[in-house]
Amino acid sequence: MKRITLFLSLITLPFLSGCWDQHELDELSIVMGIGIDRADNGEMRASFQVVNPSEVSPGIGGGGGGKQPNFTVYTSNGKNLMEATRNASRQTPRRLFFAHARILVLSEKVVKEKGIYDTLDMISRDPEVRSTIQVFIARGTDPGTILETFSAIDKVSADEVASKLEVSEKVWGENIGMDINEVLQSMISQGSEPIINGLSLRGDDEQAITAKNYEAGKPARLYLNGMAVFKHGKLKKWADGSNARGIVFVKDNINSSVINIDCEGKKDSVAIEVVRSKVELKADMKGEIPRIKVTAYPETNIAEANCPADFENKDTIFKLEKLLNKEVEKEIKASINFVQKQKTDVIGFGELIYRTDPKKWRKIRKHWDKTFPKIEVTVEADSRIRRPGIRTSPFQYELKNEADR
Amino acid sequence: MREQYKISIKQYFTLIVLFELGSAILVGLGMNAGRDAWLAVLIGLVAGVFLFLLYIYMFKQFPELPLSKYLPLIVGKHFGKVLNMLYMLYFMYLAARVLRDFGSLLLSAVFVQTPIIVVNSLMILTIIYVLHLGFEVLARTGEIFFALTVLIGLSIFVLVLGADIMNWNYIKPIAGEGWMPVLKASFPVTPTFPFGEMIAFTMLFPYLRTKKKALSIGLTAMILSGLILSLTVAADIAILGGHVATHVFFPLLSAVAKINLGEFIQRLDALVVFTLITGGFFKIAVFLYVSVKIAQDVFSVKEERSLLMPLGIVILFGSVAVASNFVEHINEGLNIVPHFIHVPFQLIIPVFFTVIYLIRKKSIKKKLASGSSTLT
Repeated sequence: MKRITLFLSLITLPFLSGCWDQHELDELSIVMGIGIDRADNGEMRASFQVVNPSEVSPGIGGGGGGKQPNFTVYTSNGKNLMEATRNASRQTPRRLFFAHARILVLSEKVVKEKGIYDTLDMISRDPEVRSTIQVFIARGTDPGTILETFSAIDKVSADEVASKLEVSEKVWGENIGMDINEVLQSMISQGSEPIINGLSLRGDDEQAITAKNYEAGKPARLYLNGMAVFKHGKLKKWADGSNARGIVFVKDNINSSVINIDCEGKKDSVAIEVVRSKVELKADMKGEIPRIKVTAYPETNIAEANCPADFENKDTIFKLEKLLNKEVEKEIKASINFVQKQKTDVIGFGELIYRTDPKKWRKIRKHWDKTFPKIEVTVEADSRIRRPGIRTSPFQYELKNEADR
Repeated sequence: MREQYKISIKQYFTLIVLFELGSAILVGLGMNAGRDAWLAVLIGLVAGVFLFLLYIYMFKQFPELPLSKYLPLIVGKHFGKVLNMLYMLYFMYLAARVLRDFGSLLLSAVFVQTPIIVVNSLMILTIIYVLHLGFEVLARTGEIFFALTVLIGLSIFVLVLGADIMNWNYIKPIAGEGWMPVLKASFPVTPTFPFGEMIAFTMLFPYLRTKKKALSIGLTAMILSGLILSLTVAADIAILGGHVATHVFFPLLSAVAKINLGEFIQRLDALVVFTLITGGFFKIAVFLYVSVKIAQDVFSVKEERSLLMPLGIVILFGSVAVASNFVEHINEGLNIVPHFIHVPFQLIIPVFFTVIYLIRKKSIKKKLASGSSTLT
């Protein structure tokens, strides 16, 4: 017994000393962002934004000395993404490590002309890449430039972009985080199409990719720019501004946003802050073509009022609520018209019909492309203005009262 | 020969739960049914309970004997031996399959460059070691790991709720393509895997400390694990969406990877891998132990421990040899094993010997009464 135990523990010993797949930290290049583009000869061109650890971590290298850039971008070509990835090893001193990649940037030109299909498989197959990686489309620029752009606040721009999306999602509501799984899921499902955030560069292109960019008073910046509406894997159209927010509204992904309404005849003089919002979608399956009813329930505060209105009177608030309803209805309606015109079901009305009446859906799903634009949608908003911040009537109301006296 | 260890009720319960969750929670169970996979699991549970009732019925007839000892009484000594050997091979094959599942998970998720035999041999050596110390050790380890698993399971559950990553619209509508596809995806896959695999416990029932509770506790444990499995599958789909959940090899791993609480609590895959290793460990251990028990009867070996190493090694090499690649392994698991291996061993043969027993009841009882002293 004792001998066997000894024998067993002895033979397990060499296995316990380490892992076969060990990767030491100093042998890895941590990729933060991946860019996918096409080279002129039709090959795939991949860019990888890689952190320079000694510059990013505060402890090593004299508190991020700034002698070297915080990150560097490798670009390489290949017949497919995998080949391009491994091809990059001729430039990288260490093995590329993808577990911390936060953004995937696709070229606008490629997804418009060739479609998105040939770019996503490896990202969703490789065990190293996390499925929380956010997908973007480089709008008006190319993925390489986006990744090469130096950021001003965070040390690594891919990190900064991911944070920008999170913040904007929370307070502005024209973008929805779309990770690789969500893109795949909406692409496969018959009753929905993907919608992917756009990423643009504002400012001097030349300066953006040099270290001067974060010393400059007016640096070139990456910013979120609309959402790309897809159809059969190809970029169909960009949804911008209120169209984009309308879509986010219907998809029930609004966390917070700002809506302007008129007050005392002054256009857009009251800014309403949406605190939370809920949207109910109902499909009416009677009749040949289903009808859909959208009801939005935004809960809001008054954030700014540049008009002489009496906020101590509850009727004023109710009046504003009515105006707000109209504004929300208008915006949602317009965005639904927009997607119906593009004939691409990014909202997932097909999914909704499938959930409501699977039998009926099985009949119409074959010609859903044709049915979708014909669907009649009614929009209703039932908003609540809960409180007007920490003061009652705006000072302009007092000014007006003074003047009247 | 040492005195047979008696399994306490608590250990019986925890072993069943760990055994049932084992590898089933890892591979997407019933995913053929698309977003209705969770329904397929429940259907499997109901059907599996009936199989369990059949095994319990036979146990009640022979409360002192395991399967390998009452089979020869029913069908005759020689035919009984043949059936016993088949069962031994069956359990060994299942152990090999679970071991392969487990190794594949580790390989495709973490150790891409490691040969599967390295990972698998570490697992089987650990199991052999534990069983070498006796079944008692396994049963008691089960209690500890059950508590750990519950703790991890609950915290993952809370974190998933907290991260707000579930979209229940993904699992609606219920049976949207009609009930036929759901039933088709369920039979015979989900009743036989993992619920029907409870046939392994026919070898353990006689060693329970409180035999009366074999049925009630067994059923509770089965239903509990069935519900956990169904809930897990539903959550996988609600997190990943029907498409992704049905097209990844390990949905639970992918689902948990999406947890991200405030950019701080994230990448919890390691926790899942831990629970999966635990479940796999107990499942393989139970299969190995029962095949050793049968082998002991078939080949009249006195010391059960001397059989652990040979059978374990066969299982180890079997786990590598069952399929040349992972896709083949999964294909076999879904299309061949349930139909041509599980159904005969879990349903046809048990029904067959139960019927023979009912016909020859009197003579068997007489034989049992006269030879009971030599048998136990």
